[in-house]
Amino acid sequence: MIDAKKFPQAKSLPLSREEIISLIKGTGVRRPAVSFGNWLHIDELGKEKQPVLRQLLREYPEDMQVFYIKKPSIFGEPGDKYTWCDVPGADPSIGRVKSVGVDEATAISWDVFDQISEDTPDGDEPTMYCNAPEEDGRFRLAWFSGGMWTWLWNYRGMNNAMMDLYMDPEHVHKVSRKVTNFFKKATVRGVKEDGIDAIGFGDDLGMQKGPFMSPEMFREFYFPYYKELCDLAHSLGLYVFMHCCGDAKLLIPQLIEAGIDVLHPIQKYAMDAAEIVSEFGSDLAFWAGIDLQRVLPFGTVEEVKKETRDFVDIFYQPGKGKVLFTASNRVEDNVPVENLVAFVEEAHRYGEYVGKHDQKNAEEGIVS
Amino acid sequence: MNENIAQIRELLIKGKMNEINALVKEELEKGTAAEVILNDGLLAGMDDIARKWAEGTAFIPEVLIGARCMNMAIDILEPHLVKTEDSSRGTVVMGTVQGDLHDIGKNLCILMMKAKSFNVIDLGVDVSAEKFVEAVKQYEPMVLCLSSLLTTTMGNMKVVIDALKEAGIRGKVKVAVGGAPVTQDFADEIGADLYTEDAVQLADALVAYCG
Repeated sequence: MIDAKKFPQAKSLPLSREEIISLIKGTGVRRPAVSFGNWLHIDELGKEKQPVLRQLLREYPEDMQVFYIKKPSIFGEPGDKYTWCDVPGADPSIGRVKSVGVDEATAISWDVFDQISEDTPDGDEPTMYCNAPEEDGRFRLAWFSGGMWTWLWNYRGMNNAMMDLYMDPEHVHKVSRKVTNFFKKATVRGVKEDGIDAIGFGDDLGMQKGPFMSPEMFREFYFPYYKELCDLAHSLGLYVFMHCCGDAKLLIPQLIEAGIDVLHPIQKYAMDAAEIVSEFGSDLAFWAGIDLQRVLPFGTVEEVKKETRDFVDIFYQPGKGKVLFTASNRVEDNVPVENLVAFVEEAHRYGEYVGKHDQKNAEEGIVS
Repeated sequence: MNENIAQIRELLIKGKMNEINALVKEELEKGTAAEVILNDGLLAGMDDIARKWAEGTAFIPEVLIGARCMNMAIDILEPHLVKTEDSSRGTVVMGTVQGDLHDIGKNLCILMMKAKSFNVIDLGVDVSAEKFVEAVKQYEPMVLCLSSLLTTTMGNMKVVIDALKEAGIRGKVKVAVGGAPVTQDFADEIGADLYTEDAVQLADALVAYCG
C-alpha cells in the first residue's frame, strides 16, 4: 500500500508494489509506470539541473524503488574479497572508469584470471545491501550491474572476448559461472535482508544492427546461466529485469525462454518497438527507454512530448499494462532538463488518460 | 579453383586456424602462387564473411576470428608474395573522435577495408582534431574516416572537419563518418563527404570511390 503522507507534493501517487506486479504479469494497471531507476543519476548532471529534477521526482515520484547493490571493487586491496580481481600486480587498467571495454594490449590474460579466487566477489559481504532505501510500499528492484557477457569483456577486452568465444570456450564458461554464483547469492540475500521484489542486470548483446553473437553461441555460452539465475529468482517469488542495448531481436526468444520478465530499453533506431511488442509482448514486459540518441538530447520539448505519447501508444497494452517508462540508457548531461521534465509530465498525463480510457472500455466491455 | 584453396576459403569463418595454416603450407609446397592462395582463398573467404555479416547470418566473432586466421596465414605467405611497390588500393586514416573510447565499430571498418586491400592507418580512440590533421599531413590519405558511438562526442566530427579547413587541407581528403548515432542528415550538416551505415558498406563505398 502506498501511504500518501510519504509523498506530500505528489501530483500523481506512485503505483504500489502490487500494481507493478500486476503490470508485469499483464493483469492490468491503472496507468503505465514511470521510473527512471538507475538510468538517471541526478548528482552527476549539471548543478542547475539538479534542483529541477529533484522537484520533478517529488511531484512525480518514481513508480519503483531501484537501487544498486554495493559494487565490488575492480581490484581488491590486500585481504579484500569483495572484488572482481584479487591478483596482486594484475594490470590495473581493467575496468577503467572511463573506458568501455579494454583493448587487447591491456586486458588480463587467462593466466591472471586463473589466479583469481573462485569465491570472489564475496557473496557474504555484509554491506552488500547498504544502498537499499526504506520500504515504502513501492516495488523494489535491486540492480546488479553488468552480467556474464559484460564481465567477459571487462576482463578480456571486447576484441579478445569475441575471439575467446571461439578460442577458449572453457574460460568463457568460467567467467559466466563466477558471475552467476555471485548473482545467485545476492538474490537470496536480497529477499532475506531487504525484501526485494526483483533483480536486474545488464548485458549489451546488441549492436545498432544485429546482436554481437549468433543465437547458437548465445545458447551455448549464456542461456544456461541466465536460466539458472532466473529459475532461482522465480523460485523465490522475484521478477528478473534485464538491460540490453542495441538490436538483440534474434536473441529475445532465448531471453524469454531463460525467464527474463522485463526487458530494457528496446532501443529506438536499433529495433522496431511496435514489431517487438507485437511479437514478444505477450511473453515479456518492457522497461521501455525513450530515445537518447536523438529526441531527448536534441529534440524540442514539443518533439519530446509527441514521442512520449507515441511511446505510450506503442508499448501500453490495453487491459494488461506490461510497460514501465524510463530513458534508454544513462541520461547524460547533454539532455536539456526541460526535455526530461516534458517526458515525465507527458508520460504521466497521457499515461493516465490512456489508462482511464482503458478502464472505461473494460467496464463497458469494449475490447480495444 | 583447387580443393585446398576452396577449403581455406570455407574454413576461415569457422576460425580453424591450424587447419588453414596447414593447407596454406601444403599449397605453397605444391608450387601454387602465394597471390592465388591470398586472393582466392583468404581474401575471398573474408569477403564471404563480410557478405554474411551484412546479411545478418554471421556475427562479429566470426569476422574477428576470420581476420585473425587470415593474418596468421598471411604471415606464412609473406616471404612468398611478389613484392610490388604498392599493391594497395590507397591509404585511409581512421580514428574514433576525441572523448570517445569505443573501438569495436572502428576496428570492424578497418578489418573490412584491409580485406579490400586498403592501407589503413589506425589512430586509435579519443583522437584529437590536431592529431587527425597531423596524420592527414603525414600520410596524405585519400579518405579520413571518423567514428563515434556517443551523442556527446559526435559533435567532435565537425571539429575535425573545421580543423582540416583551418589547416588548408580539407580539399585534399575525403571525410567519411559513421557510428551508431550518426545519420546521413548529420553527415550532410557537418559537411562530411560520405556516410555509411556499417563497415561493409564503408569498404564497398571506398572501393567504388577509389577503384
